[in-house]
Amino acid sequence: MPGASTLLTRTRELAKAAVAVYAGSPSAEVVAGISRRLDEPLRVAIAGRVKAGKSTLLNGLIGQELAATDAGECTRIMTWFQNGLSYRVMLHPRQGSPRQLPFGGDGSLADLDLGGYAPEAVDRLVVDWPAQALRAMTLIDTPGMGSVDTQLSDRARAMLEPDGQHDSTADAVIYLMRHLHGDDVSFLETFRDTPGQGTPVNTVGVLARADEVGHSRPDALDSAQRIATRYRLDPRVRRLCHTVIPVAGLLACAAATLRESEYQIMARLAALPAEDRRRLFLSTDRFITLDTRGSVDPQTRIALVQRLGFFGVRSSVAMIGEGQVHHATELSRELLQLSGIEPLRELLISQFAARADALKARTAMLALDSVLQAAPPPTTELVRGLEEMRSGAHEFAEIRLVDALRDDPTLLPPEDGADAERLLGRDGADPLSRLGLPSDAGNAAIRAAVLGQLARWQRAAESPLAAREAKAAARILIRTCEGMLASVDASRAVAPPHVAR
Amino acid sequence: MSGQSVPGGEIRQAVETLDLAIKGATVYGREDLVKRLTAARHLLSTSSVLVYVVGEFKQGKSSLINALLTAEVCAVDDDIATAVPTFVQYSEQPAAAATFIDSRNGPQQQPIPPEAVARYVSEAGNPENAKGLSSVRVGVKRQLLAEGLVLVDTPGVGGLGSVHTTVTVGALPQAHAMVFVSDASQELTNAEIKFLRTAQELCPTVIFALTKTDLHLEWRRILNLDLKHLARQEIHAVPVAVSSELRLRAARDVDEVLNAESGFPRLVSELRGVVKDSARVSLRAVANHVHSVVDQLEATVRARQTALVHPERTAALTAELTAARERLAQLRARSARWQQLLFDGFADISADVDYDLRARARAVLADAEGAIEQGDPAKNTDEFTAWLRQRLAGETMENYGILVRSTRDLAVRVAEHFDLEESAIVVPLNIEAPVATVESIEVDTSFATGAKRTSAGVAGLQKAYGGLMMFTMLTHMAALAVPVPLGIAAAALMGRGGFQEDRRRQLEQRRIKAKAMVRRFVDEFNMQVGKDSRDVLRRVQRELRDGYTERLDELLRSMGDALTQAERAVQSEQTEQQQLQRIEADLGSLAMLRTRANQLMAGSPVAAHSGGG
Repeated sequence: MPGASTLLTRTRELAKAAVAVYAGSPSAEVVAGISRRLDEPLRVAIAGRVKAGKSTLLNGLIGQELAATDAGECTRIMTWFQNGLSYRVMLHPRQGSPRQLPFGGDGSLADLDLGGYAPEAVDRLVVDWPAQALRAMTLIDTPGMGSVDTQLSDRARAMLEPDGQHDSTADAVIYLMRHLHGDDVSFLETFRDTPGQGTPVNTVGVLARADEVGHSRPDALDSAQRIATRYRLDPRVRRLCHTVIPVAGLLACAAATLRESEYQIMARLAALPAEDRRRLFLSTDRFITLDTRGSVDPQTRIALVQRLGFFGVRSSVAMIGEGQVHHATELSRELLQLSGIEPLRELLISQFAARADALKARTAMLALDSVLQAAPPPTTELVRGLEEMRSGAHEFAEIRLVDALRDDPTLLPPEDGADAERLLGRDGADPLSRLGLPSDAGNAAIRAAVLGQLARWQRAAESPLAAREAKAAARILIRTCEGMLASVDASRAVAPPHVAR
Repeated sequence: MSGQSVPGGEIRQAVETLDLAIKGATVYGREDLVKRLTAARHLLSTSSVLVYVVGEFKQGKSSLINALLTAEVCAVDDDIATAVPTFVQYSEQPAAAATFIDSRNGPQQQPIPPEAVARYVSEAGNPENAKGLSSVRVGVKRQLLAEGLVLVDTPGVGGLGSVHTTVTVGALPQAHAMVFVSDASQELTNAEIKFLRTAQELCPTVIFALTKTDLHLEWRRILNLDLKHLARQEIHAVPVAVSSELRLRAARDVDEVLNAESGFPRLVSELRGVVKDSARVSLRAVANHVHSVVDQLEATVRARQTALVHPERTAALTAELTAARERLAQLRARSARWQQLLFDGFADISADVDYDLRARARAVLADAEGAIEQGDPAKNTDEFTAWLRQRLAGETMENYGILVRSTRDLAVRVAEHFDLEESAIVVPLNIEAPVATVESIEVDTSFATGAKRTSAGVAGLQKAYGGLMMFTMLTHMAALAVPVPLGIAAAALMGRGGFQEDRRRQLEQRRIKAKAMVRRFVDEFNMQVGKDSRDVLRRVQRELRDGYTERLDELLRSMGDALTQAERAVQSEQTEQQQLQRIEADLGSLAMLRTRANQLMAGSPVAAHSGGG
């Protein structure tokens, strides 16, 4: 979007002006934080009820067993994972200045020594880790909602709901659910009710632990896909998050870190007689106690289940046994495919990363707004500037329209509604995705498609039969089309030598 | 009643105890408790043993029942949850029936084909429960059910659209036991613990079933964590770890070892225990319900008692009532006499004022006659009459001053009689001295024919005192001394001439005429001002009478109100005392109920590990 950079630039200017206005006042630090944040990566929080698999999913996204995971409730401290040159863990206490922690034993945070701090006294941990996945966005692991330890849940909730003073609010949220529980809906609703904070645009739902759906039968992930589809179409869910996709975080993480030795162990299991294999996979108890005549010792088997999950081990052994895969790399690829993490990554890119500027600008404006309200500035210039941007920026108009379409599906006729959502970036923010064109479409095709859409929405905006809201929606879509047209023409000016080759 | 028999007396006692408790709850308007106890009555009257399988959705409740009976009786789906309760009971032939809610004719039951059960109970087959289904009954031939055991598969709690959660909880009092289901994928959540706490209140015999143990490597740790959570919340449950998958597989393969691994034999024996002890279990459940109801009612009663007991207030209220009564009696006694006081007071004032006026007029007359004697009335006639008028006007004002002062004093006296505050004194409205009347009395100046009419001096004097003539005496100025300009001697106004004989007679004549004029004038004055004075007094008397009547009415009314209030307070205090006595009696009944419940509890051998109360 050509407007995006200008939006961020304008927000930066506004933030800079605010820094100047509030210099020396108690709000100075908060405002400086808002300004600083605009140059940092997008912040994406991973939230959900306890044991939804938030840390596991995070590990799956990073491709490293970094966040501590356990069978019991585990994550007690909000942990930020950001891209860095090397591995480093900083502890930010509630009171006092941040301090660096010594490395955990094996690079995981499982046995991290908090250096004498009680978990309650720690505001957050910030982990630097060089990872491709962290370049576009900083991921934030949160303690689960609905824990028996209500204090812990309350803390998690408070961290996700901005209070203006806290600069730890997320720009976007990945919400994990196992089945849609009443708690999930109530959380998403609160998150959404926080003025402009959570909207379908910056919330993505994940049906987590997808490998455990349907009693972990071989078709578990298909089942999960079916359930996710149902949730996706449920109006109660549509209002709260962009979409719901099933992901098996444990499989993703295992796939990313699968070792050849593990492959070999599973290959040995796959080589056992069929009857033995059948008995082996009856239950986890059987799996770790059954006599395999020295093929694989029980301890190794326990470690294997912990790494891949029962479903992962069973699927892997089956794939090896059927000759579908022949070495760790192939198995890894299959597991990755099975885990559903790739669609989530793509979704994060198209939904969050591509909109990062708008989302960041949005967070900054919300934060600035609460500062302006808490401590009104001496001149009205800032307030006016903020108001102008909020009502004027086309990116925000698009976001609002997406929300409106989700809230009221009857706003536009069904076929128009679907196309409008796509045009607003449902499948990705680039022109090809917005227009639903194949990835090899040339400029001419794009141009034709944009003009087609433009004419369609112009007609809609002029239609004497359309409701006022529908006309307003059409006008926003016209601007979207005009923006695309401008960017297509601009890129064409540069494109020819490129195409000529 | 199946299983081990219980003496009929105990059952009877339990029924009586329940009925008493129902009566108590009805008296205290606790519909909820009445419902609960009425439901619990089923425990004693039914021959079936109801075991509810409850828990959050997607924890494997339906699977557990299927595995337990090794039959596909409950619909199991990866996604779609159970929407209405399914009662699974013994039947020689496979059978099923659906109960529909019919607002007009009550619940309607109709048989359905057993293979269609899934369509009826699942959310997908019956979205938003459009069919108005309330429950489904399924009959299967299983030995476990032969002795009256009925397993109830319930909609999961906590999910969306499971509108029957409250129905599930509401039905729990009639359950002999419940199996709480939670899977091994994670430890208990806050929502589950909350539900369990409520549920255990309503159904004390709890079996905690940890499901899906075949899938989760660390199920033993999860079980330990769960048991710790339960212990911390003082929830007493018998833990059982099961795998429905293994049980079904074991049944298919006829594999006893696998069956043992599934954990179900333990659950089966627990359930058999419930059936065997059903009579005891139901007595215990009834005792538990009564206990819980007694606890709740007692809390209410005690709260009411605390609110009622306050001896110092009772004393204060009684004293207040006595005082109010006395005040009113005094006022009534006084009010009988106040009118007399006012009447007498005005009679006195009237006499005094009249006498004063006459005395003053006489003095003026004497002065005037003296002046006439010493001078010639023909000279300065105008000045003389002006003086006369001024003098009389001045006297009138002094006289009215006395009138105002004395009426005011009387008003105060009446007020004092009633014990009124100063602000409540009735103040006579404007009283004006009839100066204008004096002015308007006609003077016959025929005796001064030809006499000079005016003199500059008197004109000046008149001018100088002109303000006085218009003096209006306002009641609030009554206390002011009236500055009467009487320093001017009448004689100074009469011219002195040479007294020649022939003129002497004429002078005498004039003097006689003048004196007659003066006398007439003063008479007229006496008559007119006297009338005005009496009028004024009558008016003021009326004013005061009306004013004080009103005041007195107010006073009587407010005192009457105060008395009524005090009476009411004391009365309610008395009813409260009666209430307190009733509360004592109620507490006694509750204690009796508790004892009976304890007896029921003691009669049951399983009481020890339930800790029901």
